Formats: sequence, C-alpha cells, structure tokens
Amino acid sequence: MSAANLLQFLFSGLVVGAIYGLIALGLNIIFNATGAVNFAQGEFAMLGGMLGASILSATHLPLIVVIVLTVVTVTAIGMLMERLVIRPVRHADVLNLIIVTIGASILLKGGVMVMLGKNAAGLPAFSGERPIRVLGATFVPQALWIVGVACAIVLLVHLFFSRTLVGKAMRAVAIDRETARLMGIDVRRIVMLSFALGAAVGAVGGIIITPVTLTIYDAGTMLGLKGFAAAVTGGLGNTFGGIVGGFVLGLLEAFGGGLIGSAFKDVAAFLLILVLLFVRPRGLFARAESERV
Amino acid sequence: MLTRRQFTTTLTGGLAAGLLGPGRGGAQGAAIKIGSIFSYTGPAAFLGDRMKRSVELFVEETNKRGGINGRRIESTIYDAASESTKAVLAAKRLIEQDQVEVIVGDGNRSDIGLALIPTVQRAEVPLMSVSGATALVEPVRDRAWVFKSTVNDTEVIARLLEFFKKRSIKDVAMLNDTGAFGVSARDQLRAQAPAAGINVVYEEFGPADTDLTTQLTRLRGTSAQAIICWTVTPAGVVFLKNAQQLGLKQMLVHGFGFVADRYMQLAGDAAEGLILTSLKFPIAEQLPDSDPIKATILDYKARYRAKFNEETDVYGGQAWDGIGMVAQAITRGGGSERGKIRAGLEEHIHGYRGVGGIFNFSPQKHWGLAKSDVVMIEWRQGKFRLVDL
Amino acid sequence: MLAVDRLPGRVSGRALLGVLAAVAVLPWLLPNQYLVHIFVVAGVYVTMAMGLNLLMGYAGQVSLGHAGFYGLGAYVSAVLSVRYGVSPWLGMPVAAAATGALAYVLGIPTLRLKSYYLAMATLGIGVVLHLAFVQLYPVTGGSSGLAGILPWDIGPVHFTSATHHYLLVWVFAAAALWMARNLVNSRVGRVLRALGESEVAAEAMGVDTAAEKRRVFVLSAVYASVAGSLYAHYITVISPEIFSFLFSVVPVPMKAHGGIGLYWGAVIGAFLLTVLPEALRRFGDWELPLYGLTLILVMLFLPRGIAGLLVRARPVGTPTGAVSGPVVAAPGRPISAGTARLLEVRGITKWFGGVRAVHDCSFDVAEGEIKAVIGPNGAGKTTLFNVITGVYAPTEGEFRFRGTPLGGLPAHRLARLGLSRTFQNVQLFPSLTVIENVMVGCERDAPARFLGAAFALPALRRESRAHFERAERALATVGLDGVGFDRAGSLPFGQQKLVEVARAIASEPALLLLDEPAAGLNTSEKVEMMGLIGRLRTLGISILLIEHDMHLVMGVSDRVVVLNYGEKIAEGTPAEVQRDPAVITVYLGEDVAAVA
Repeated sequence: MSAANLLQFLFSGLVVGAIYGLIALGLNIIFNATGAVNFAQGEFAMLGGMLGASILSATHLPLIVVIVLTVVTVTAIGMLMERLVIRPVRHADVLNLIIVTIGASILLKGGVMVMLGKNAAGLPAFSGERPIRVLGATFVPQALWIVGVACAIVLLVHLFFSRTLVGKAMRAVAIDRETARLMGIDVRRIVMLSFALGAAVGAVGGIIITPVTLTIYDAGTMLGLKGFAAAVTGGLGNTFGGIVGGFVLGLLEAFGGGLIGSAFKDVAAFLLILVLLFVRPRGLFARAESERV
Repeated sequence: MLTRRQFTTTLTGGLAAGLLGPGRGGAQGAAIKIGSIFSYTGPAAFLGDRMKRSVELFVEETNKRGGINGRRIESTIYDAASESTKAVLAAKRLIEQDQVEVIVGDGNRSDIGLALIPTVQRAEVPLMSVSGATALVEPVRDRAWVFKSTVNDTEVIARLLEFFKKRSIKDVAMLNDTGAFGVSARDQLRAQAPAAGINVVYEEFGPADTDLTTQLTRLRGTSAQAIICWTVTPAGVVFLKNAQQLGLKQMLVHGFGFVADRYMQLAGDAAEGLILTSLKFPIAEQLPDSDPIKATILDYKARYRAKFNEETDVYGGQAWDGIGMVAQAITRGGGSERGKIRAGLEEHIHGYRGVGGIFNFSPQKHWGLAKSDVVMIEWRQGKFRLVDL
Repeated sequence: MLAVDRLPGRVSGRALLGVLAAVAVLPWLLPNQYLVHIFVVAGVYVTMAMGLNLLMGYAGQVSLGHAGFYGLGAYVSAVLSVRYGVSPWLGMPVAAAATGALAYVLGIPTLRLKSYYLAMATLGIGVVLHLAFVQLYPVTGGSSGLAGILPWDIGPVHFTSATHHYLLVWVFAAAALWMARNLVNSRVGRVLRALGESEVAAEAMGVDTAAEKRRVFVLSAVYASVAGSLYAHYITVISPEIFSFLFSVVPVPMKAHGGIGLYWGAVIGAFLLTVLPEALRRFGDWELPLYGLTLILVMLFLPRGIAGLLVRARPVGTPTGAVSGPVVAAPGRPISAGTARLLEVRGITKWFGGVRAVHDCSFDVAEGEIKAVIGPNGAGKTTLFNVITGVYAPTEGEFRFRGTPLGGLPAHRLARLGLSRTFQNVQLFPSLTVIENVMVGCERDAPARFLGAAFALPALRRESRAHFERAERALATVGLDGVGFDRAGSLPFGQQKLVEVARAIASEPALLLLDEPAAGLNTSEKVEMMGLIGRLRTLGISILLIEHDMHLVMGVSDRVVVLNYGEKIAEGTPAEVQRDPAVITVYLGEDVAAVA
C-alpha cells in the first residue's frame, strides 16, 4: 500500500466526510431548537441538487444566480414544512415527531420524482474539472469547494450561535424552552428559523456535492442516514461535533474500503460507530453529565 | 378542518376503494388482458419508465388497428418500486384479481424477476422477463413459463471476452455492483475467463455509492489493461469521473445495462472513448441498410418520439419486443389463454425481427437472442458508434 | 382479573375473541386470493409489531433496527431450508434462538444508551446485518437472495394456497397477541410501563431496569424473528432488501399508528401499513408522495393513533371495594433497642468532574432512629442520598447497611436489601394510576417472572393481588383515600408527595430516605407530614431525611447532621445543633453567631 494510495484515501475521506458533516450540521441546528431529529434532512440536500439542476437546465441563468434561487426555494420549503407538518405535532412525543419527519421525507422524495423526473442529474463543477495532483494523489477542484464551503459554513454557524443575539436565543430555546419563552423569546419564530437554517445548510450541501456525486430523487435517504450517524458520533446537538463526526465517518469509509476491501466499506463505518457508541454512549464530545434527581 | 372521525372514515373508505377497485384499465368485455410489472419508481426507475411507455404505446397502436384477432388489449401496469415484495404482490393482484393471461415485464431488475418465478410457475401464467441474468430462463425445465426479451449475460460476457482477445488484452479488472445484475455478470466472467485465457481482478461497489476512488486506487496498481464496470445505476457515471480524476490510462468498459445517452452526457468528457457492450439498438443509424433489424428499430424510435416527444432507448425496446412477441404468439397461435400463449411463444417465434435482435424461441430455449446480436460500441463526440461488429 | 390491572384501553377478552373469530373466517369471505395474500402479510407484520410495541410503547426504548432481527429470522430459517432441507418447524425455533441470543448480547451495551443514541445503535445493528447478508454471498445468495425455500407444511401436506398460510400466520399472530396482552396486564407490564416513565424511580423500587429492558428487547427480537420466518416460508423467495433501513423504519409508524402503548393498536397499525401501499397502486407514480402525505396526515389528525381515537383519555376504573373492613396500617416490625447500627456512612466523598459535592462525610443511623440532614442549598445533601441509594457510586469511602458493605452496588440491589427512598423532584410514574405506582413499590421483594406473566400463570395473579392489598394499606397509612384509580400525574403536588411515600413504604423497608418531604407543601400539609413521619417510626421504619423546614426538622428528628459545601460541620440533637456557632454562621452569618 503505497503512500500515494494512502494519501488518495485521505483525500476521498475528507471530501466525503465534509458532506456528511454538513448534513449533520443541519440536523443539529434543528435538533437544538426542537429536540427532534429531522429525518428529512437528507432530502433538503437532494432538493438542493435536483432543483439546482432543473433550474439551470430550464433557464440557463448564470450558476451563481441558480444557486441563490435554489437555496432560497429550499429554505422556503423547509419553513413550509415547519409550519404545516412540525408545528401541529410539537407537543406530541418524540416518536410522533420522528414519524412525521419520515412522512415528510417520503413526500419530498416522491414529489421530486413526480415533478422533476427519475433520472440522475448533475451540475457543472464550479471551477473546472482538471484534477490537481499532490504527491501522487489527485483530487478535483470541486473537492476544495466542498471541504472549504463546509468548513466556512460551520464557522459561520458557530459565530451565529455564539455572537449574535438570535443565535443565543436559539441556544436558550434548546436548553429550556419554557424559561426561554418566559424571558420573552418568541419560541415559534426560533423554531421556524431553525428549520429555515437547517434547510439552507442542507441545500448548500447538496449543491456543492452534485458536480461530483450526481443527484437523483432518492439520493436523500443514504445521505440522511450517514448524516445522522455523523451527528450521533459527534454528540447530538453539538455543532462542531457533527462535522468532526462527519470526517470520522468519511475517513473510516475511505480507509476501511481501501485497506480492508470495498466490500467492507459501509460495514466498517457502521461497526466502528457501534463500538464507539458502546464505549462513549453520548458521542465523542460528551461531557460527563449527570441527571438531577 | 376535518374532525378525527371524519378523517378516519375517509381514510378507511379510501383504502377499501383502492384495494378492491379495478386496476388501471377500464372496460370489460372480450378483451385480451395483459399485465405488466415494471419498476418505474425506486433505483431501477430510469429503466422502467421507458419500458412502461413502450408497452402503453404498443397497446394503444394495436387497439387503434383493431386489436389482436379483432379483440382489444386491456393492459394493466403495476409498479414494483424496485422491490421484490411489491413485485410479488403486484403479480398476485394481476393473476388473481385482474385475471391477466400473461405478464410482460418483471420489475426490470434481475433479482425482482427471480422473485416472481415461483408465483408465475405455480399459477402457470407466462412471464416475459426484461432483465439480464441468465438464471431467469435457465434451466428451462424449471422455467417452463418464463421467457426473456433481452439477451442473457452469458452471451454478453462471451462477446466481451472475444473482443478482448481480438485486441490482445490478457489482464482485465471487473468492478461490478453488488446487485443481482452485477453479481450475475461477475459469476459469468469467473466461469468463462479462464477458458478464454484472460486474467481478472475483482472489485465491487454498492449500487448507490457516490465515490469509487477507493476501489479504483486499488486497481491502479495492478497490471489490468482494461477496467470493466457493470451496473445500471448512476454510480457508473461516478466510475468514469473518478477514473478521469485519478488519471487512469486503462481502457474503460461498461456493461449492457449502461447504454444511455443521458449517462454519457452526465459524465461529460470523462465518457469520451468509453467502450460498451450493447445490442444494436443505439447505433441503428450506422447499420448498413441490409441489416435485418435496422428498419424495425428506426420505426419504433420514430413512433415513440412522435407520441412522447422524447427519445426511447434500448431498454424501452426490450419491453416493446416483449409485448410484440406476445401479440404474435396470440395471433399465430390462435389462443389467448395462458397455456396457449406459452405454446405460441415456443412455436411461433422464429426469426422474429425485434428491435433488440432476431428472436428464436423453442421449447428448450426461452431466451431469444444470441451472441451475434451483441455488438461493441463506443461513445465518441456525443454519439454511440459501432466499434466491432 | 383485578380491577387494578384494568388499563385504559383494555379490551375485554370476549371482544378480542370475537375479533379473532372474524379474522378466522375472513378468507372465505374475501373475493379473491390476492386479498387473502395481503392479510397474510398483514399477519406477519402484526407479529413483528407486537414485539416492537412492547419495547417502544411500554418500555419506552426506541429501536430503529428491528428489520435486522426480522431479516435474521427469515434468513436463518431460509438458509437451513434451502441448503440443508430443514423443515420450517425446526428452522423457525432455531432462527428465533439465534436471534434471541444475538439480541441478548447486543442488548447489554446497547440498552445503556439513551433515546437517540439507542435509536442510532439499533439502526447501526440493522444496517450491519443487512450489509453482512449481502456480502455473505455463498451462504445467503447475496443481492439475489434465496429462492426455493420450503413452504410450510403439516406432516406430508405442503401448504399451497394463501388460505392455508393465512390460517397458520394468524394462529401465530393470535398467540403473539395473547402473550403480549398477558404481559401488559400483569406485574411485568406494570414494571415495564414504570420503567418507561422513570428509570431512576423504578430502580429505587428494586426493579433491575437493565435486566428488564434486556428481556423486553430479546422478546421483541424473537417476535420479529418469528415473523421473518413465517414470511420466508410463505413467500419462498427472500432478498436482503427486507433488512433495509426503510423497512426498519416502517414498523415504527406501524405500531405508532395503532397508538403508542396500546398493544392491540399495533394490529391496526400493521394493517394500515400493509394495505396502504396496495391501495395506492392505482395512482402510479403518485403512490410515493401520497404515501408520505398519508403518514403525515394520520399523525396530525390522530396523534394518539387510530387506537387512541377509540380509547377514552381517563382510565375507567372502579375501586374494588374488595378489602373487607376498614383498612388499617400494617402493624409493622417490632422496634429493637435504639442502639443497633442500621446504616454506617464512612468517609464518603463524591466528585463530579472538577466539583467536589461531598467530602469525607461520616455518620450513623441507628435502628428506630429518625435522623435529619440539613444544610444550605448546594451543600451536597441530595448527592449524599444518591450515593447511599446507589444512584451514584462514591468516589471514596464506604457505607454499610446492617454490617454489610454496600459501596458500588446498583440501586435496585440496595432497594432489595431494605433501603427505600423518595425524590426531591417527585419521580412518580405519571401515567400509571396511583395504586399502580404504589404497587411498583412492592417490586422490592422479588422480580416478576417474565415468562410466567406471558402465559398468565395463576401464581402471578396471586402476587398481583397481594401487591394490591399491600398498596391499599400503604395508601391508608399515608392518609390517601379514594384516589387509587386516578392517574398519578393528575394529582395535586401535595398528594403526589404522599403517593411517593406510600410507594416507598409499600414493601416495609428497614430504612427510608426522604428527600425534602416538606418542599412545596403548605402549612397544614406539613403538619400532616410530620405526623406521618412519626407514624412511620412506629411501623418499624427508620428514617433519614433531608429538609430545609427547621420547624419540621426540629419537631421530628432524634438527631441532626449539618452539611456545608459537602462537609459535615456538626451533629447532635436538634437543640445542640441549633446552638452550635458553626451552624449559625452558615445559616445566618457571622454577626449573628457572635451575638448568640
């Protein structure tokens, strides 16, 4: 196993990991504000890719315009979902919320299939496709976009949560909803905002990876699943943990597949996550917590 | 806003209606009932869509001309949604509730087709498969009611090995997906390659994978002169792009489940020079006029284009051939009951000019095409071109 | 059956038999075999959903990976049949045993996790099993799966029609239903529901929550495995997609649509989700979005599921009136001389990360004594309690109960040795009735036998009755009458505290730890509480209590221990402690201490 090959695995792992991390980020934002895991998060990413491709092929507008339009549209869809689907069940227990988001994911998937078609779709790479060679391993320019944009978004979200008033309000809602409401925070607006943010982050993720992976109406399922795994690995609700979890998962896949055998790519990743959960039940970044009784 | 009771009542009523109501079709009468099962949702959907439409086109045109032997065709098409369980349920609904005489289409995926076999064998209803795995029609004594309107992967692999020998290629790599189609081809290659004197390295990937650089990196270091990818899913496009990214110099080959303009366009210049195994369908225009099926293909393409305002593909053609042969079996065999259709297929399909090739069925052979129907093509400058006839 | 075992939504035995009779004749009423076929599949799903319902609806553990167990059951029995010609009647129990064993092993680490982490772990298990079965191509046929599985048979007769299979499957489903019903309506069911509401409280009442969760997990896995085997031998062709994540997730709505926690609701849910995709077939491409839409609409309109529609929110229960004569408190144990040391605490220290909550704390509680622990907020009193009752392990130090060293034992073991407690933040089981809450207190004596409950053995019913009577007496002792069948969560706060005390004394502990019994009570309620504490001593229960209300402390205690910042700063009679300058400083400030 040459050094060049190992480096190649590293690159693949980082790119794939960035994708998972972005999905995890969107999941964590929504989880923090609502306490619910949004099983439709993968569909937001899929929507980003599919809508982007459709708008581009229908209007031939410049790519940047298409991207903005797409993100805005998916954000609107996320907000609609919150208003129509999530808000009515917000007082129900966790299981109801899970089911409702599963139903939403199926609805979105089916809706895209019926309206945008069943074929795979792609987007042009942002800055060309000439592979870049580094020490015997290669990657495409889009890979830089993926990792770069992912990290930038995580940073922006982190700043949002720690420096802005709205962000802090959102964290307050995550910690104690009732008290936040008593302090004058409009919890409903915050929840709506969290879905908007989660949808936007998901859409951006979908757009930046489509030039490399293509997209199709049912691409959201696997993405959502891996994103969930990444989020749990890092500790649900922990925004930094999510992206780290994503990288861990991506690297496990790349190295597991590369060194053990492609047959074990997916298995290795999930097995190791299982082991991780058994050893650290609250995720990688859990602080030792105790329940007050 | 509905009350809870109103909602529940509506739901229950709707479910009962949906379950018991008639399938898509319509009027009763002395119509010939033909059922179809395609996957037009789910991962296999991109194949199933055109198959479904081709059947619809055929039925519509035939009925306009007065039907088969003066009787109209009543067609019922169900979605297998790329799942065996759904396909089996659909088959049972077709057989027992809709009372069809024959089923054209097996969910257009090899594992789904295999799952249907016990049901159709037990019910003694002929099934015209449109999927590639050889196990669908062999051994014939266990497949008395199953026929196939496309080529077996046995023949395709044989043709591919022939091609490699002609090009003096002795070392190849096989990168197949873990679906039934990919695995079946891999098994065929394992069985046939040694006799052909060709060494093969094997790797695989999942049908929904979005990154194959790991597998390709492992293959980069081997002595393989050609890398074969065998899948029907968009992962095959990722294969091409990753190969380009890694700067692989080997010949790239795709299987006969990947012959689609759309895939080539998605791959962009990474698809330039790609070799594929295929039926003659995609390069019909380049065939000499003396070729027996050229006119048939062009005719079908024109009709499809006129009706649906889009291009069909070789897979739609499989369904077109499938129902076409069933219609001929009924017309010449004189009967539209299940057993008569089966006999009709075995006895009256000789030299049938389909868009996939020339079909010959017999009681011992339920697959109609042969190695000679398979050609090697390549994608160059935006079109499929014949490479090796 | 005991009135107390009558849960909300309980269906009478006769009603159930009626439904089952209808199900039995259904195949002859349906117009064609295709519909019968759907009901066969529904029966398979019902079996699986029953198990999931027990796990999720009653024990409150979310599993997203049960498709893995279903698939395992299907594949083991299928492989045995295809490769070795083993009959399904042997294959199914072998598969069930294998699945149960796997669930047991996996359950140990998995069930330590909470909520979403548990869901993720079970999901991971499901995915790994799926992938394993795709990869084990030579054994399992990989993606193509296995064909030629032997169908069910009785002796030489092979089942060929859907109707035969229908009857077989529904016999199993009915058995699964019967067992689930027995479990739910028994002691075990009560324990499971309690566990789902407050694991901590259940542990404190002597329930080995880890073991109970594991048992339910294994049982639900076995149910799923049986369902999988039934399916495999019916459809005779299987492939790995039955393991897929989506299939795992589908049973979740399946049991939820029935109504979470209502076991027979799972039947409705299973039907709904079998029939729904078939009914939507006619819409072609639109089937998928419509399916998603239906799921959402059902959750919106029927949040408690379809079963929830049919069930009244409040429990319908009548007091048994079965107790003859006035209920008197049990005479209790004789009080031995007040010098025997019941509880010895030696040098207990507890760190939480960088915070030292308790430091080198030592004292004794004598037999028949009432001792109070006081101190400012944050002094470490509740932490001390939590260490003594096994909620936390001490960082250093040890303690003995009746001479036996106890450090490090789990809470339920301590409870069984004779320790009982109430909680600072009341930890009742809110959706259980009051009497059920108190009955859980009797679990300290011996664990309920799982299998016995499943088969509704008379011994268990006798135990339930005995618990019921003891619970009634405990409620009388604390002065609560007539609220036995109300939902515990609906009671006013003061009464909830009394219920907690009743629960804690139901099985006559030797030592009772009361954590702020007077908190949140008004003056007259506090007076009653003081009287109750005194009464408890006459029953032979020694008491260690935490309190802030000085009047209560001084009025009721024999001796008082004072903590500050985790350290003991004084101990003595109430009078001594009141005069102690160190104590005054801590409570009132140095100036006042100087004056005193």
